[in-house]
Amino acid sequence: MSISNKKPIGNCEEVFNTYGDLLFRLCFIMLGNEADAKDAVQDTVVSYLRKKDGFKNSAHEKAWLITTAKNKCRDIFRFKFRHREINIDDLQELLPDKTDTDIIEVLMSIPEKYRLVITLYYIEGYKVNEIAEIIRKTPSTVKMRLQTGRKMLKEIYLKGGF
Amino acid sequence: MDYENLKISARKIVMSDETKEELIKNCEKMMAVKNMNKQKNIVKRIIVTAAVSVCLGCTAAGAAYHGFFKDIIRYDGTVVGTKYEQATNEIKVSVMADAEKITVVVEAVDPSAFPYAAFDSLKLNDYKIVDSNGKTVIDSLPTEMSDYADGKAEMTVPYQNLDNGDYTLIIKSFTAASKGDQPLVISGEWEIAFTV
Repeated sequence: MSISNKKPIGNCEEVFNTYGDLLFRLCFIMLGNEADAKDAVQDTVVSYLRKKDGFKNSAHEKAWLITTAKNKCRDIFRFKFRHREINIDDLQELLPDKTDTDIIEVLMSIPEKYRLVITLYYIEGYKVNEIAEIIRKTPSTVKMRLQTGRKMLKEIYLKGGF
Repeated sequence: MDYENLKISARKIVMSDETKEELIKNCEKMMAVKNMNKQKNIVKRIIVTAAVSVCLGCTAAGAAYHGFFKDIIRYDGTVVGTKYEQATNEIKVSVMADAEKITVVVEAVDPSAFPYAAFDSLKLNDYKIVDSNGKTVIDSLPTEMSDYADGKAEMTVPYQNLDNGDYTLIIKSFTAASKGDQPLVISGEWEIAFTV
């Protein structure tokens, strides 16, 4: 039996203030455009607000949100499988500096499963074991994905002449 | 590729204030709709429960007014007979008493209805006579089968040494019989006051 010490935040605004940017960043990198990212964040927050059980601690709460956001992204991704849209305009609007846009564009161009682990590891600062828990894979799978992802990023980076 | 730069660049992806406000509004709307649906479901459940209760109540009220057949079940579950219950409103009982005998007149409200049209003799089965102090003076003394015709039967209660006074006849059941059939116990509640 799990011990629930932390109750979910009941207020919508507070959820957005605490986790809004994290979720938006993750969903945007996963989906490649703002409209879909907003949908995924919205669905994630509604699921969170409807959750009745508490969390073990803040880390558990954050991990739950990331897992849910990832699943929501995957749902949208599946729905739009045949015509996935990476909107460069959205990206440029969010990151006016070309250096930033380029580097994120490279990240967005690698397959979803590698993108997720790279994002969680390098951007959100999670450890391999924590990522393994979030994506429900073994640590060695996460390590492999990190390795492959890095390799892909390097190739694209070099090819693109960034 | 410099992953520190990747982190710095990615961290610049933040929600604008307009987007945040829009999403907050949308989420609140979605939550309100979901809560409303939840309340609707609760109301639906209450209505269904109320409707079922009314139906059950009607059935119970109907059953209270009309008699019904019930199987007599032995300890091992075998059905060994049938009885007819809640016949209170289907039989009228009156008593005529004098110094020599107590005559009980039984009349079916609807003699053509089943089972009242199906038997030809009737007797008191479970009954008692109590005096004005509530003391039982006669308790289910065996009576003889009386002829039952056109929905009417007259039967006599055997008694000896019944003092003058006010009494109440309480009948719990009759036994009805017809040739070739197993006797049928008809249950109900009848109370008739009489004076000797």
